[in-house]
Parts: sequence; structure tokens; C-alpha cells
Amino acid sequence: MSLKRINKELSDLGRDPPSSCSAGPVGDDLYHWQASIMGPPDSPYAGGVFFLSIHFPTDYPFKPPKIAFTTKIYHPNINSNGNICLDILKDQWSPALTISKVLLSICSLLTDANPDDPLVPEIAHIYKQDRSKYEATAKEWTKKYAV
Amino acid sequence: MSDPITINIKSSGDKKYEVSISPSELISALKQEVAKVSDVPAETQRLIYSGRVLKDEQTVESYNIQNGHTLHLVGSRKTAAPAAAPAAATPESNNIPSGIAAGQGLSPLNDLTSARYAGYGAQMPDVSLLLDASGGLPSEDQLEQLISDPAFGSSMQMMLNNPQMLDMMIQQNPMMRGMDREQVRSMMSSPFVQSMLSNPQMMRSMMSMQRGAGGPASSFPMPGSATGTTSTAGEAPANPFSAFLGANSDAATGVGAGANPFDLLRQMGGMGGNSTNAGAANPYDLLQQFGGMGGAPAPVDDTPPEVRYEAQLRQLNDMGFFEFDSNVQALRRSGGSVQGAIEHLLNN
Repeated sequence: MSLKRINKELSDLGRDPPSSCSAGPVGDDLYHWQASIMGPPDSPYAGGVFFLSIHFPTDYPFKPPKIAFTTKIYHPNINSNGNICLDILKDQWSPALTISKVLLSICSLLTDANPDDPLVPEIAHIYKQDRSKYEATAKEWTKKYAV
Repeated sequence: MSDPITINIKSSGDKKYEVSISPSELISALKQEVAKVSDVPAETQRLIYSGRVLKDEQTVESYNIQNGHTLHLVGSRKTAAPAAAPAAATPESNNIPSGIAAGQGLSPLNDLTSARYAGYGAQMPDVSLLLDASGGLPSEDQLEQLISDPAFGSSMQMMLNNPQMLDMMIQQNPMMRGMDREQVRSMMSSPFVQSMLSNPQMMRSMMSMQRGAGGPASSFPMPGSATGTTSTAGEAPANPFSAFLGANSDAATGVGAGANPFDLLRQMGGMGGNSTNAGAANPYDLLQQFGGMGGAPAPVDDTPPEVRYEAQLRQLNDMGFFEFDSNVQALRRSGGSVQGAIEHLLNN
């Protein structure tokens, strides 16, 4: 069941991936993928390529996939381990969501952070108090780790 | 040497290129090809496929790139310019909310009105879930639950406060179209009407009146003749609706006699769902249509399952259930609930 679904998503992604992300299996294990997201042009992450790891649970799509950044990124909702604070990866998961949709949501999280539900309170604080400082740091990190 | 394959290249700013190359070629050769069609020199290209950056010394086939597949092209640090060019926001990222919403119940209403209505499906109890696939009726308790839900009342009110919505209602209802638009509008937005439509008590008595009328009776029953509850409903002498419909004195007689005030309400609901049961004034119908605004079209008898369960089947397909027959069967058993159908499919 889950394999069939994962295979379907894989072939859809190969044929017609979203314009800013791509994903596929790391090796022969279809339950372990990697993904990349191109920093949205209208964000301080522009020009960067961010890598993520995806682990599918065996009861996918009934349980959400585990997704984490492997590239360091300066963002209020992403911590230093790469964990992402995103509702659809937790309680708001729906089996109708796909990896492609989830990656697009992460893209939009990069454009519009959610500082009111932060994973890294310090960054959220700077984001709210001093937006230009946040953008400068995010740009710097992007240059350093993702270009 | 194998036959060349065609590879699509997507670049930032929605630029697309197409290159063809033999699968046995190295990635460095592919980059040369890409450099010819794009303005990005080979040495500054980063090609991404399947979530990884392609390495120059590997071959195209080692990455299992198939004919017609798509790679992403990103300029690297040496030419930050093309990548950093402030292209207009990509349409993809703008679409996300609706894409996600699609999974949870998207209503045509959302397009019609504003974002305020997004998420209707979540707030309002979905009547279609209560309805049996065969068109069986939900119990009274369930309906009670629906109309006494505060969300129901508040969404009614929101609807009535929206001028666009009112215009549409007026357009759709021949009776109202004949009346003065301004008058109708002020009528509908009057606190009296609003409190009536968003008051569970009132809805309940309306329901019981309708039940008394029974069947496809087209005229409204005399108040009190059906049930005792009617008289408690409002201060209006007769049915509460004639009170406001009668606001237009010219139309008053016509309204009282032939026209069914429930038509009005049905119209309201009909905007969201597809109003198919013409004529018969059925209280369930009414509520069903209200529920229809939440997104799920009201189940209609005698339509083929692929039409009736179109949305649900698509959802099941998205989840990886491809067997049409068993999907339909499961949906029938669950009365159109995707959740129930999945449980059935997994247990068999």
C-alpha cells in the first residue's frame, strides 16, 4: 500500500516537479528520500539550495513523513537540527497531501515565517523586532551554507 | 551508444528549456548542452534531480533520469545574478494555501467570495456525511445538532452581511428579482431577518412546519395547523417569513399565496451545492443545501457513482487506492465518507 503510493509520487515528481523543489530516493530504499528546495526569489534565502531528508513511515500516507533540513538555515521555525515546525507535518497531516505539496508548503514557510509559533524563539524575536537584521543573517547563512 | 533522451530543464523565474542527450553521456556534457540553450555557463550551473545535485563526473543514466523528466537549474555562487534576480513571486508558492485546502474541502463559494469563507468545511458540520448514500435521511437529532451549532448561525450571518452574496441570491430567485433590489437587500440585512436565519429556535420551528406540510406541497401551511411549536416561533402573526417578504407591500399577496418562502432559503443553499431537487419543499433538503456550502455536493440519487463520488474518488486515488469498483463500493457503504471508505478498504 504505502509503496504503491510512494512510487506514484516518485513518478509524478520525476515527470513534473514543482518549480522550486525536487525529491527522490537516496538509494534503493524507497522509504528514505532526499529533497532539495531552491530558496524562494522573494526571500533572504534566494539563490540557495537547501537539502532535506525525508523518511516515510510504513503506514504512509496515513501518518505524515518525517522531514528535516540537512542544510543549515536561519529561520524562526527551523532549528539547528533541521527540524521543521509545520502543522501539516504534525496534527494537520492529511493523507491527501503529497511530498510535493509539503515541500511547497515548506517553500512558503521560507517566504513567510510564522514567528508566533516559533521553534527557535531567539530568531523569532529578532524577526519581530528587527526584520532587517533577521534578513541580513538569513542571507549570510544562505551564502555560507547553501550557495 | 543509446538513443538520446529529452530532458526538461526548469530554471528560476519559470524559464524552461529542453535538451536532448544520450543517457550514457556525462553530466558535464549535459551542462554544455544546457549552457547552449540557457544563458548560464556550464561551470556555474547546478543541476538538481531527485533532490540531489548532479556531479560532473557521473553519467546521466547513473542518476536514472528518464526521457521527459525534469531537472532544476540553479546558478551557483559565481553568478549570483541570475538566481538572485527578483523575479515575480512564483505562482506555485502563491497557490499553496488553496492546494492544501483542496485536500480538506474546497468550496466553490471560496472563489465567489472572500478568504473569510475559506475553511467553512472545517467549521460547519458536514451534512453530507450524515446522509446515507441512498438518500436516506439523517435523524432529527443530527439535524438539531447542526442547526444549534453556533458556527452555523454565525456563518449564516456572515453570508447575509456580504453584499455580493445577497446580489447573487437576488439574481437566482425569480421572485426576488422582480422586486426592488435595494429593498430586498435592506430586508435581508435587517437585524430581524438575520436573527431569524441564524436562530436555531427559528430554524427548528421552520423545520417542523415543513414537516407538517409534508411532501411536495408547494404552498406554505397555515401556521399552527401543522404543529404547536409554530405559534411560539415569533411575534409575527403568521409565518415569520411572510413578515419580511411582505415588507414589499406590492408583492405581499403573491408571496402569501403561491410562493414558497423556503425557495429563498433553498436558493441560498443552492449556491454552494447543486440544487437538484426542484419543487419538493423538504426540510432536509434545506439543511442539506446549507451543508452543501461546506463543500461536499449534496448526494443526488440516480447519478452514476463516478459523478456522485467524484471528489471522494479522486481523494482515494490520491491516497493510492486505484480500484474503482472497490472504491465505489466502500464509499457506498460509508455513505460517501472518505474516512469510512478507507477503513473499509483497509479491512478487506
